Amino acid sequence: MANDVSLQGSILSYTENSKTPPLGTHVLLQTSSGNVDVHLGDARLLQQAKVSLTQGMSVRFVGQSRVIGKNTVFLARLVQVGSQVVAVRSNHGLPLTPRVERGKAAAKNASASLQGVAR
Amino acid sequence: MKAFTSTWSAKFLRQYVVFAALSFATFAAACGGGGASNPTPPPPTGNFSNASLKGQYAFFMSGTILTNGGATFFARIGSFTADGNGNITAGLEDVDVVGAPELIQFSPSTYNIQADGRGTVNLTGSGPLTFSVTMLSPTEGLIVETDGGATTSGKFFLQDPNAFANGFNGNYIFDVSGIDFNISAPDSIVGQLVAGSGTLSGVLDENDNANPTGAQALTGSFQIDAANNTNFGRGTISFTAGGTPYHFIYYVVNSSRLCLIEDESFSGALNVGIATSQSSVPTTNATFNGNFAFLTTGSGTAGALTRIGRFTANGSGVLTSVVADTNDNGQTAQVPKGSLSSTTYSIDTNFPGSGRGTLTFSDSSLGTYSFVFYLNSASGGVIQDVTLTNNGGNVGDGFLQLQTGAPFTLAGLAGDYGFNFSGLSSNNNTVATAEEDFVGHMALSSAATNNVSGAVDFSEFSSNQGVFLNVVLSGTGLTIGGDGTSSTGTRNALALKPLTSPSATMNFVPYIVDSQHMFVAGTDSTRVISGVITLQIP
Repeated sequence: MANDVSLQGSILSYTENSKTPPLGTHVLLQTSSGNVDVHLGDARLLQQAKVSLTQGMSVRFVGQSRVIGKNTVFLARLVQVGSQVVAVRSNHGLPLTPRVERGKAAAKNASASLQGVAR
Repeated sequence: MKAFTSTWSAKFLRQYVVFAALSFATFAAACGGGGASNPTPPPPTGNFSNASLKGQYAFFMSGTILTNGGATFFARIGSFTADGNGNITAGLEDVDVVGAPELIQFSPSTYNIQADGRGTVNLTGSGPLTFSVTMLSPTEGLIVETDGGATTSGKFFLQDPNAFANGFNGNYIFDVSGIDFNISAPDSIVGQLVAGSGTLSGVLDENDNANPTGAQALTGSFQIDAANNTNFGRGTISFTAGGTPYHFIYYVVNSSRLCLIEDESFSGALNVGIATSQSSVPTTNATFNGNFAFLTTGSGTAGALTRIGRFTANGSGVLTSVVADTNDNGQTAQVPKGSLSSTTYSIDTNFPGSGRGTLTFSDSSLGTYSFVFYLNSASGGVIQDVTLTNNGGNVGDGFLQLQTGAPFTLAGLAGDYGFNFSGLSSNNNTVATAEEDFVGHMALSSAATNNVSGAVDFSEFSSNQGVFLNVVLSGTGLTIGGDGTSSTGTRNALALKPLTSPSATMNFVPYIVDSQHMFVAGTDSTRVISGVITLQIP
């Protein structure tokens, strides 16, 4: 996605249900240029991918920063732990809905790419 | 207009599976009277009864359902028949949970309507379903699924069986929303359908994954369902727009309205909503003028998003007195924050008579807001959020309605209202963020404060309890700012407090449409919620 940047660092804290907007899952990431509040959206996406984020873990996020209220938040689109990459936002930056197996649609898209293809 | 992306946490899912599997019967019984520690509403008063729900009703709703694979967005539309004496005698629905609509016949069951218009409708398909309802009139009501297995919001309408075979005829606008499961992203389609003798033409705007198509001419056809049209008004629609095929199932309400659900088995997308007939739509900027209120719900890059506001269209393509409130996944903002510019609208002359138009305004602090709308008359229609930003964009849709009857006063608005709110809430105890849906009755008095009373049922999947029934509604109520239109920037406020234990006040910004309707959007940081409050006419 245009304007996406990569953010690499170590997890200082993982909050599945943050009180601070935007609602949802946040990671406080320690990077070489300071600490960054990263918003991941829906924790179920990580759960489905069997990715568990814990303090001290090295992780890479791809996404974009945005000012929300008085805070700057990094809206992650991709989460990479080791070689595993999990999409948490679409290629237009919208938080993804966790998938459940869906009949014909699921079969139709079994070979779709990581981000899938719109109708 | 209901396409929130549910955000259940894994922890909550585990809790909820246990709750749903083992505890529902126990908790439902405990909640029947409002819960052990919660006050019980006084006996309802009013002029509704079981006789108010009599005839065939078409319904549509969408929300979150718990499946073996996890919680997911789903939708249902259909028809049920009430005999006026507490019995559901027949019914049929198309429900899409996992990939394709399933056609399910309802067995006989029961319902009850109380004097205040609140009640319960039980529908028995492949299993028992329980819905809390609030009647707005004998021809229309609000419905929320409250059986713990799913939560939804929607409406139901009295059907005219005489219109089933040939009633879908003429010009309609439509608004459907949901999820494109090909990419697991929100989707919204608004447009115009011109129906006659089995053929369709028109125009649509789809905003799938913040990728708005712009106006796309459509052509296609519709067919009655030979097996189910006579009894239920069911049919199917197929059309192509911009090279993309679309397939819907419809239920005729009457010659002025249809309920619609997309057939996901064709497209991988699931959208649900309604179509309403058009008459005397504005065809030029000059004929679109006056004060309008709007409400959209959907998603932005931060998550769930509501936008509510008002503007004055001056008849020359310029918007004035633009005022709006947003809740961007818990972060609220008010327009104008900085200075406003580019406040314009345009009725689309490329599709004359379609009712299509666009509007935009820019706030120097908050950015540019862009919308597409389709009018069913000079008094309003449907609206779609097509705002794009540097890092993505929005998907949302909802209502646009002429704002009439100002100045608004508490004395002038006092009365009995039905309401339905839908959105997301975050719960600190369960560490969960999930969908919630409210349906209830609110009596509004002319007192300056503490002017609301009533009762509400709601599903709140971020809480351990999940479903709350017969909850007393209290709170400081409605406060009117200025003349009530918000045109000067002076907002109205609404504070409602369902008396559960623990209880929490829900704060809203209401935009009063007229003496019978208010659009409302939540302003709390722990929930993103919106809805419509409508005067009841028994």
